[in-house]
Amino acid sequence: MTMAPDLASAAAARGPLVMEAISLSKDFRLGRGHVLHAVRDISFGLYSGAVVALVGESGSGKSTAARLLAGQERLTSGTITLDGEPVSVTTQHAFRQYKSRVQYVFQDPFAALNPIHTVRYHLERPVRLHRQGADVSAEVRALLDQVRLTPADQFLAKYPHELSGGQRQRVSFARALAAQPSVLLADEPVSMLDVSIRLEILSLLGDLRTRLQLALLYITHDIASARYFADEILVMYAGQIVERGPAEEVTQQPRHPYTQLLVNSAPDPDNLGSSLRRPPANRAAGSPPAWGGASAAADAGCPFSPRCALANDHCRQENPALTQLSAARAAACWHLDQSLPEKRASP
Amino acid sequence: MSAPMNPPVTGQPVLEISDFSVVYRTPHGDVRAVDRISLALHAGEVIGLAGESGSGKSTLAYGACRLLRPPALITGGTVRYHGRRLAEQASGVDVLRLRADQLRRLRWREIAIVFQSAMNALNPVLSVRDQLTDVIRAHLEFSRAEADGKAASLLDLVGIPRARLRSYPHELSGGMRQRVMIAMALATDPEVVIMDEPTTALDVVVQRDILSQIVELKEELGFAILFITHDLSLLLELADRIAVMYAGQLLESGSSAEIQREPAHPYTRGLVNSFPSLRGPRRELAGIPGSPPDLRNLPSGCPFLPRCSFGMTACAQIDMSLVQVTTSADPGHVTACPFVLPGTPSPALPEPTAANP
Repeated sequence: MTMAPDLASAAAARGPLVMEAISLSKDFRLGRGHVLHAVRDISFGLYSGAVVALVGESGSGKSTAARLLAGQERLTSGTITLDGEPVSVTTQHAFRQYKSRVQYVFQDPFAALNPIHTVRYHLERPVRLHRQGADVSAEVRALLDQVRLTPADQFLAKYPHELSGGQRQRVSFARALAAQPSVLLADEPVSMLDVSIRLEILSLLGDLRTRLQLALLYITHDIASARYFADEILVMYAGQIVERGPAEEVTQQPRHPYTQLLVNSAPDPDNLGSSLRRPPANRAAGSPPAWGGASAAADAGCPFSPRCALANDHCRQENPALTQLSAARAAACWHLDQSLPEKRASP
Repeated sequence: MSAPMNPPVTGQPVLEISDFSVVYRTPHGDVRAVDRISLALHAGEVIGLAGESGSGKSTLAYGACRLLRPPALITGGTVRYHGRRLAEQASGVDVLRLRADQLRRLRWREIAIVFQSAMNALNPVLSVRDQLTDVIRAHLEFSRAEADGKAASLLDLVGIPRARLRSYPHELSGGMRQRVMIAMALATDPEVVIMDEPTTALDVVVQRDILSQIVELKEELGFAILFITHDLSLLLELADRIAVMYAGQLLESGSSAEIQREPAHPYTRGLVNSFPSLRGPRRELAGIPGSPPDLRNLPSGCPFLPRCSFGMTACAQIDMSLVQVTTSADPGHVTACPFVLPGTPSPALPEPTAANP
């Protein structure tokens, strides 16, 4: 699946290209000759000061993609470039250097911090590791300031269990920023937090992105938050990018049947005549493949075809490539001419 | 907005919680987790209980079924259950006064719970069949064969192939595990089902699938649902009525339509404005500044005061009794804030970056 060469990224307007993923693939061997194609031939760029969102359900390969970028998994094939140079992290030293440019924020702020260490310890360590010669104590304070945990003194001596979920996630951000990275990979950074806290954490992340000119990869299953937060959305299904484009366009005029399913599944507080109140006669599209997500998708044909209402024999035999729709949009579907969003029944 | 109004709820509620209080007894004094809360659930109704972690919503629900262990302590209030099967007791069953054996007959048979984390709530070393038949045989007088038949039909009900009876929890996807949990809760045909964040860990597509299934089953079997979640956007779409909790207290309750149209309490307003919407024009998102309250040391008066943009000195003296929202179409729409009424313009919010450069 090669991308149209002149497809522009909606995120490119924000700043220069920092990191590029070119045809990344990752297979996991499951034993007895079974192979799970977790990521299949995906390409995208991360741009300074821009947010690219990777959206998809559990098992779609979005976290694996981020782990590939973070150097935590070996590529099966493909190339990652950082500032135009192909990345090769074969030695411990090279890996540490790479880590100081590319940082990862985990989903679960409760599990990502060590319960027996204070906030000070969590932040001093990366400063010492990545920035030799820096004034450690001043740097740690500056970091807490950056994530708006002020006054810093109040937080330095605290243990993770003394902090709320939002505060813990701020400490995770501060720890990631300690290395002064240019790329931040955030894997579901708010999905474990309460709805009322999420917005604040996202706006903090957006603020840091602008001030520090970070290239941000935002991984989420919540396409609504991606609409507000991201410049470009990449929709993943079964390890492939099935649709991409500017966030507003992808969420408002989704073209791929899977994106349409995602958009129609999001809770809609304005939909008072919802099917959830008045169950419809026929149920919406089925659940994802029961076992192992991506692995259940057929090797041949479009991976979404088992769940797709538009699927025909062509879909089941041949996997569609990403087709360019406009300057910055592309989708992979044989039925792009007829998969225009259906009107929701108005209450 | 010409949304169809939900049919007016009449008659006796099936579960009636009044003035209910729970404290957690600690060496440093009592932590009031649930503070004088009243809630009525009618047959066939979905009530949404919204609130952030630590607001006491799960404590309220578990407390009403007497599932809490020390140091939790019920300090006041009543919980009455009026089920069809217990119609001979006109005044209903006083749940808080039941003996252990009576309580055992009430739980699951009458009031069932779908617990939050299906992975932890299912026994990893028992097959789906064993877990289902265990429930059925513990609460109904069924033979082994009858229980097996019932287990199979329960899986049909929630749309899982019967072949999965032999599966173990780790062999099921997250959505399937949650469906098994729902099947287990429905095994004894209960009249009240408490659902504690049943879909929080699932992705949106599976979530919608399971929710529409729950609603279908509710229509078919006629049970009432107490749906606990921190996701108000979901409740606005799903629930008939919504109760908003904060720091163990009820801040607002009313029909979903009215809460969506004009949320009265500043906290509810904050919640309504804090989720990104997918449809319609992009709107300004405000969010709620500050962090959740520390129940060990709550301010006097309104617990939301430290985070409230409308806050004033009088707020520290109010007694948090619920007053009717007079402009609301729903006569049951009440708020704990006597000062801020729907339509009160929001004071200008300080720029977050300016406050903390």
